[in-house]
Amino acid sequence: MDTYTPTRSHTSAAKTFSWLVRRELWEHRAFWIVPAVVMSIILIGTIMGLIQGSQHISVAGDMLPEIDGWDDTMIPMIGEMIMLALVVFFGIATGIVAVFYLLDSLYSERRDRSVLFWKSLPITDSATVGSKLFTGVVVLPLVALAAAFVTYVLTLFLLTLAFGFRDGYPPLSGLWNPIMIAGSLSKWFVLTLVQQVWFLPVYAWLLFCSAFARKAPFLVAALVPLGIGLAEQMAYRHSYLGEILGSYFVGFFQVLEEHSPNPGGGIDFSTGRNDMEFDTIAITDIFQVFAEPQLYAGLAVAGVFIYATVWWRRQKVDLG
Amino acid sequence: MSEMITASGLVKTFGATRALDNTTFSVERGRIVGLVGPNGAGKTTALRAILGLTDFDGNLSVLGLDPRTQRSKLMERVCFVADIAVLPRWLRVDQALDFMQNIHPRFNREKAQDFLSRTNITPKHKVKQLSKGMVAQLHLALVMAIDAELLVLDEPTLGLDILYRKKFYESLLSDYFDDTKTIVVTTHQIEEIENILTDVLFIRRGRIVLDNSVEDLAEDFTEVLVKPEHADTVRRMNPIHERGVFGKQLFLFEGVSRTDLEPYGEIHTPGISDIFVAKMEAVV
Repeated sequence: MDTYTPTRSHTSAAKTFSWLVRRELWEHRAFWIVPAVVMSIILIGTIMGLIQGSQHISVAGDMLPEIDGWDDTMIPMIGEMIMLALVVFFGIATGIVAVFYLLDSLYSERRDRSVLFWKSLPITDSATVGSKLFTGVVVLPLVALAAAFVTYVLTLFLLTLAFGFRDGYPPLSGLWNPIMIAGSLSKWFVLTLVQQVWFLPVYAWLLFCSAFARKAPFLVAALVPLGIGLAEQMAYRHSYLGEILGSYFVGFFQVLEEHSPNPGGGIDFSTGRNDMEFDTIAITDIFQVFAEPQLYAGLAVAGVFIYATVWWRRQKVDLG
Repeated sequence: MSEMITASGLVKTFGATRALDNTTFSVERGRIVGLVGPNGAGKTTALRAILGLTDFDGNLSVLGLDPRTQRSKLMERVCFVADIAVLPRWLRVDQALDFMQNIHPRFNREKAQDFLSRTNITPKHKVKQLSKGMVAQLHLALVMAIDAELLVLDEPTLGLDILYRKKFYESLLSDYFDDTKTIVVTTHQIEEIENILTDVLFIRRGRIVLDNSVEDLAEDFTEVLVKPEHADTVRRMNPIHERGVFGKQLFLFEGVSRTDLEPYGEIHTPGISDIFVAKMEAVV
């Protein structure tokens, strides 16, 4: 009785998912433009700094005093510092892109009614929601990391060009140690992914607001927790939600710090102090994050938001 | 399995209004069904129920599947064009083709390209660069390249000029439709699709008020143009609609034989739009 004929072309869940991610990359060119702009700014800044610096050096005729104190052991440290700075720059830039992307993705398709086109295709709502979450939470940070790494290599190249062949400078060839570079890159790769797992509930909340909001998903995402916090303040003179969110946000960095080889160092976000111990953490230490019960509470919350997002995507094709 | 869609007792409420009020109908395979009703009658809600885009109460089976729980499976065999404005503006034509080819098991890229080659649309065009009529052509090309069993069109030509509207339905009939396929279409402009429909469903306040094949309409409905002196006699025969035309009265009858009416005036076969107006203005 079923007249359904065998499929003409091969499709599978994995293939569909990869095309859904590709479709997100087609739509959101900011994923490429923002890292490219950040990269250009950093490289141009570096080049200009080096030109000015070399003029200064040629006038002074000698090296800066601090450089006298440098030795070979500091070389890896310089590399780590540069990489940390780049990862933070690109991370912030693409983090902002990710927030707006997640807030917008399921809202704008309802606003411009293109949801009716997407929903005319044999794609489940969970695959659609999953692809958007995956794009924002995994693909985009990896784009950022790749951009940071390329910028890192180009920066090393510029530094080597500027200083590497001068007398009196430490041998910058140490910066090109492939083992060091690979180690740094894999550590940032792991740290990025683990960080995204920790903050998944935040991303899931943004995507839920995007599916749920009748207008201004950004305001919904910000005002709902703010409103709850204010109501708690008025009722109990204390915001439990604020406390929970605060400790969750700081929690990730606290856990990393506890497990870093030099506890007490690391980035102190309350003072903005950063003594550069943070980035010397080993990959195995990063995985200590998975021993934290807080992480699993966060994942449970993320699960609820993701489920609710899929449910709303199934229900709603318009804004009202 | 000749029943494509069977719906019984569909109910969907928005606040106090009942968009679907115990709606019951069925659609057979190989038919072109016009779902016709005034604004807010429940047309779009009925289509959305069929497509699994909304929740509702009642029993609904589309191709033997429940659209509420088996939507993605259903969408392999069903296509729909909501209206022409829904293709995402950033999408490029070649991207649309790539995407469809890779995610839709029944999409035939050659067929879509063949159709597009007869238009002014090129692969590098973005949707936002196309005119409204061209977007409709693109959407139709994508949809017609899917070997779907059921095609649902919700006001597919809204806002298009007459040339594109005519072409749209011509392509649909000549390049797409055959007796294995079924089309359900809603429109305001009933006159325009009158001659392509095989069946009509009139919906009013969420209820089906007419469910008929177009062939049967001519038998079931009769119009008679009556001189004023016979008007009262004819009025007593329970016409479903009456209006004045050039000093005469035009009466519309349902289920009254022509021979009974012939003595009183000129007999006409009413158009679907006349029946539609009568049905919509009738006091229930």
